Amino acid sequence: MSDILELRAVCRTFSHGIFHTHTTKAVDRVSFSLERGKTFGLVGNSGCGKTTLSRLITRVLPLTSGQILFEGTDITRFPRPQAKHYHRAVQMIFQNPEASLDPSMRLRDSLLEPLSLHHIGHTQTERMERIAHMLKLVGLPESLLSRYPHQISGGEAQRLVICRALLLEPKILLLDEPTAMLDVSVQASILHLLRALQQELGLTYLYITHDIELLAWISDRIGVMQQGQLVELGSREQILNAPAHPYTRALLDAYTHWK
Amino acid sequence: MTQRKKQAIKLIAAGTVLALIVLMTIFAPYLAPYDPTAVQMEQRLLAPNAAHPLGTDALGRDVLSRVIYGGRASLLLAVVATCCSMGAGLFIGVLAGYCEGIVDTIISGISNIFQGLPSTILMIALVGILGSSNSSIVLALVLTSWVGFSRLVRGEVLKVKQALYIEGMRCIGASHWRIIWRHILPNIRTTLIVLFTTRVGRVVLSVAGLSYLGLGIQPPTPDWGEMISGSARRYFRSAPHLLWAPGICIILLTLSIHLLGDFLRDWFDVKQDLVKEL
Repeated sequence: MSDILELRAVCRTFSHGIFHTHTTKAVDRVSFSLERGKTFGLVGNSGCGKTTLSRLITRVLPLTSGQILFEGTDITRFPRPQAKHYHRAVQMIFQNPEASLDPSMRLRDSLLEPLSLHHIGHTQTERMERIAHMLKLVGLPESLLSRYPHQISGGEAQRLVICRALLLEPKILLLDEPTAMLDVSVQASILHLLRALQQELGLTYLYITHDIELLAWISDRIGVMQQGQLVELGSREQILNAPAHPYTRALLDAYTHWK
Repeated sequence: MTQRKKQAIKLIAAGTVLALIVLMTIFAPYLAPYDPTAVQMEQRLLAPNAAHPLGTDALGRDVLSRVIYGGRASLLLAVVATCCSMGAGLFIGVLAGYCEGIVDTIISGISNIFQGLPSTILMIALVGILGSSNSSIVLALVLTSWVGFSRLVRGEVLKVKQALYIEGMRCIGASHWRIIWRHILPNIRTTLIVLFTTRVGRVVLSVAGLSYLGLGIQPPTPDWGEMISGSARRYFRSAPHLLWAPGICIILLTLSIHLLGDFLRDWFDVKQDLVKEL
């Protein structure tokens, strides 16, 4: 069983208007699977349903129809303890790292929060040891811990958010444009960090972006989304060298022309 | 720099006045030269003199002693009523802001009704129906002022709830209770503190107003509003000293609380900016 997460015809519609008569299909029958230890790249322009999809996977939003299987079990039918286990195994990294940290909390408390939530480590010192270890892994000094989120740089914040996610020893990281808000030089360092972490910890990534160039570098398989539908799915080589769908071709063209 | 100096002066002035008034009411039994309720009909309506620095009222009671005692009831009532309405407003506001949807619609509808009612008239009607005991005054004050709290809290909660870190907490499986308690409330703390101080001032005025109308704190309990409505209203032409002392006290108290609230608001703003610059 090499697939860790499988999406089967996942749909999510939003209804609006006074009588909920108008509906928008944000995610429309999307199916793909994440292979353990590999990176799946999801590409599409803004508003195509990428972020909604990540919210469905993290269970922040309920599915309208379809199934999401985590290690063979439907995540919508999880009883409570298993749901907690799932929330630990799947971690989300957002586009804006500074906004993903509570501004009223010192960074130390922000890092301790998930540990106490999932009852990891018995004593404060044990938890602090874990944090120290993880900080070293993502390349941050411990002196940062007594600061507040607005007192660190964007790159540092993104490393810290990655550190917080890794503290829970997840199996899957959902990365929603994790480098879009960062300087180019910092972007590269974060991407290298992500790659190194994947090799070291055997993580599975779902990398969501609108930048197909970036996916060419980081992903093993690529899915292309347009208006809520997955229009093309294949290995990196397939998508980059022999795109079948006109939208994929347009994305690649834009990138090569620009280059 | 001048701005900061102005701020400092505001804080020191307001803080000192407020502290003096609070100390005066707390230590009233030690400070007052006479029993504030002791009636001496042979000494009625005396002008300020050596024995009675602020004179006496229509029943011969020492005005200075009554002024010293007079803040007790209204301050206590104001603080209790503000705490209660803040508690109610906080609960209802968080409920509306966090749940949204149908809960929010219902709560907002009810708040709109309450906000549409003229608060003074509602207060008078309530105290008139329930009789003027301390608990009915508190109830009237809470019923007329919770809306102000709940609306503001709702808005703040809606704003904070949008933040990415709240969604992040949901992603790692935090319960709603934990999110509200550990992440939403700390982030609306400053608003709450400022709101509390400005509201206490307003409630002090309301209590004084009720007492003035004869619906608030009842004689013989000494109270500034009651002092103005009692003998002062009838005799202020011949004995204006009855009016000044309690009137000035009410003005000083509400003004100092209000200035303090003002200062707190500016201070939190400035502090946030300063911290961001670091």
